[in-house]
Amino acid sequence: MHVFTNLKLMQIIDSAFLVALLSIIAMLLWLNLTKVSTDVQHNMQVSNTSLQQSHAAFVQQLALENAIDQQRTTFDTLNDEFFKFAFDPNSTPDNLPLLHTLSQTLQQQGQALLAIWPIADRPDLKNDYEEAMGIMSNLSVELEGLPPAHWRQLAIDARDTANQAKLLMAEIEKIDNELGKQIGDTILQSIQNTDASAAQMAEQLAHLKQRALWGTLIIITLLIMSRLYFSTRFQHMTQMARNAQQVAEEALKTKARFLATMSHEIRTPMNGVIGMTRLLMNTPMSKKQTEFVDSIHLSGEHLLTVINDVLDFSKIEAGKLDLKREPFELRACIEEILNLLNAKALEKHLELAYAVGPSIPLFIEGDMVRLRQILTNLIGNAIKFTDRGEITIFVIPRCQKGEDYELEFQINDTGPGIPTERLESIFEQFSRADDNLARRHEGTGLGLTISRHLVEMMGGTIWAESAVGVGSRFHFTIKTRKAVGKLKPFLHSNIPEIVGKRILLVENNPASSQAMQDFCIGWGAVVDTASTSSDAISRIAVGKPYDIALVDSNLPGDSPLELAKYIRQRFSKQELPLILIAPPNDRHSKETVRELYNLYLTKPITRSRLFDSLMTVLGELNLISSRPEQSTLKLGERLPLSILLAEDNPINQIVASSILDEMSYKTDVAESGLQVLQALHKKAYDVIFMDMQMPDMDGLEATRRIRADFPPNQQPIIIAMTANAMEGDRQECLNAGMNDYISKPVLPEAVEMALQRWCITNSQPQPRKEPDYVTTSA
Amino acid sequence: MSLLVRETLQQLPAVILPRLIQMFGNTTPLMLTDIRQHAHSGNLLAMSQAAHKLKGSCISLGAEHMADICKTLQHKGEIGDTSNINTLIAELEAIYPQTLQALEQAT
Repeated sequence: MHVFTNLKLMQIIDSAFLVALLSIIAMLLWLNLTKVSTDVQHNMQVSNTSLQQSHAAFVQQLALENAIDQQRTTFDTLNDEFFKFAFDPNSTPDNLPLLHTLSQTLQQQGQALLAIWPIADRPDLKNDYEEAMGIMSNLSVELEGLPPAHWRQLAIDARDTANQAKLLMAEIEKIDNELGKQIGDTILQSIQNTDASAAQMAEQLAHLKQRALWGTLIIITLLIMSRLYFSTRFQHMTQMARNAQQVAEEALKTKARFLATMSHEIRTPMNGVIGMTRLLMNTPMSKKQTEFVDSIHLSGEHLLTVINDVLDFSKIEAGKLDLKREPFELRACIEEILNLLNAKALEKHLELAYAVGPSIPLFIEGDMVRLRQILTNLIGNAIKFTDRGEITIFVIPRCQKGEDYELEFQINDTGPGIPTERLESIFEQFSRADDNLARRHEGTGLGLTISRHLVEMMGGTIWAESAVGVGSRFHFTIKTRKAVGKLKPFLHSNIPEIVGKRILLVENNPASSQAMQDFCIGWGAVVDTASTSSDAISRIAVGKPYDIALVDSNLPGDSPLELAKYIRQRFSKQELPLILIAPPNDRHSKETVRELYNLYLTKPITRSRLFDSLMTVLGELNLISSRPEQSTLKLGERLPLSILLAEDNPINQIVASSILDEMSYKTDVAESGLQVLQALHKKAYDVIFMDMQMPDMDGLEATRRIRADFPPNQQPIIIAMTANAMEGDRQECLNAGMNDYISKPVLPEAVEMALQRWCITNSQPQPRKEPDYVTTSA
Repeated sequence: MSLLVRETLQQLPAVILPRLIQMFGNTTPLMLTDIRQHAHSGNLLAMSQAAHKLKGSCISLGAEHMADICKTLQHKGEIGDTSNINTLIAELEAIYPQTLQALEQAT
């Protein structure tokens, strides 16, 4: 955190420095250019004024020269006319008007000249000129009044005045020329000034350029230095951050390793606690104690689930989880999961069905345990959060290249759905769709996160879609390839017994219907599907022949029975065998079903069960009598019995009671023959598993006493357990009144077979002298 | 004759195995002592019963070799045959630690 605060500060300083330098450059440029531009403007103004003045003076000089030239001409003309008039003997006053006109012209021109008089500092000159002008213009008037004798004198005067005037004008012209020269000098001066100012400007600009160059160089140097400084600092800080990250990652891994180790260490004794609790549950306890122990057991199971989740999660986090790549049978994997979860689904009356695309190979390569974990989690969640309806699982091939496949799994439910805003985070750790719902259901909230990690490790992705109030659909993909494995019989295609058989499938669940159709077609059968009983009846009514009919018990109302009655009116059980596809807790009366149907096919439908059923009816075996109800329920749930275990060896007590516990039987334990008798006096038992040799009173003696002392309705089935696997011992047991005999080591199959043999067929167990079957497990 | 038949262990619920093996480790030395003491004191019937009891444990856990020796000892005790008893007891005592180790490793 410290590093990142510093980094931020450094960035701010760096940016501020950069901005300051750029501002300085901009300001200097602005100031210098402003000065240059002001100078230029000023010089332009001065030069303009001077040129304008020079132009005006020049124009005036031209006008003056022009006026002086005209005046001279007029003076000369007037002078000539005077002389002509004065010295011509023929002159008469009639000639005077011409002189008058000329005098007037002279006067007008004189006025014009005066108007543009160039020199202000010579009033004497102007007065002389005005006088000369006045004399000259008055001469013609004077002439009119003079006698001809005086005309000559006047002409001479006129010539003198004209000469004087010309002299004056010459002087004016001279002055004016001087003025013109002055103007030329001014213009030259102005041009020189402009030149000088341009040169100065050029010099200023050059100076500015140089300064800008230096300034830029200095700034670039400063920038490079600051860059170097900051980049060193940044590098340092990045390194620090990287180190911190490494430390954190290492710590995380260590933590995950620690968690993984601890979870493993916790799990081992936890298994012990749960195992021992289950054994404790089999011992006599008060009601209160039973409640406490049940509570310990439930909590233990929950804790174990939590620990397993944590272990998986920490393994994934620590990168210690490796996936196997082994061939496994995908359909069997899904069927196993459905078998496992079926009990929970049945409790809520939910339908479970699955369909795998027919093009998907039987065996694929991958880690079955982990795939099962993902599916169990998703299907388990679907069951958990759905209160009515169905859960369907589809597997479809997304793409196939040679032997490589990408498969998509879809898990659909009809639950409450997940709000859109929660869908995105649902696969994040410690996240669940609804905290309220979560409180209803125990768990770590790690299940979906673990699934996401596992899916990603399998080269796939996981996502979910949902419509609130309608249901959810979880998808995930995995990358796998076709594999080769050992085929179970029902995995072969075109089974000779089934090939060509015509099967009518009456099923209203499309997923189940599709799955069964795929299986049957795979085995070579010809399948007709109907979704209602009336649909099925109409097919039979038109005379379509069928070899077997499969009917789902979930068809509405009594239609499974009505359909069967309709068929039985036409065909016997041998002509058209009927199989009822039903859950273990089917709602229809078992009596009626047995009358009409050949066989039950227990849900969830798996390929192996369907195969067994078809083979059974095709083999004309009626399983209703020999296999009354196939069930996924444990024996103890289907066939509740009170059992006493008589065994003195503590190890063997645990072995036997845990085997019985696996079958959902709680057993009471007696350690000697005497304790057996005492227990029987307190409570009636259906079955006693009796060790032969015990202290105080051995099993044979105890059996003899039981058979002798207790009334027939309290006689238990007694099954011997002994390590003396000799014919003599067996006979001795039977002679003592025991029903059956299993040898040690006690194996679950032997126990289950003995219980089924003696307790299912004999609703009223009676002691027998000679058993018709002896189960051994040698 | 193998020391341990693993298939027998695999048939048992996994949750109880650690506890069973622990119990085997706790109870067997006492039973071995019983067998030796009864053999020393010449009480062959008691020795036979002790051997039977140990045999029961051994069979349940698949400790085949030990079970077989116990069976022989039990039989000898029942018919009063003292021959080779000490050798058999010594052999039983000798293979017990190996058997326990094999059991511990099997889980």
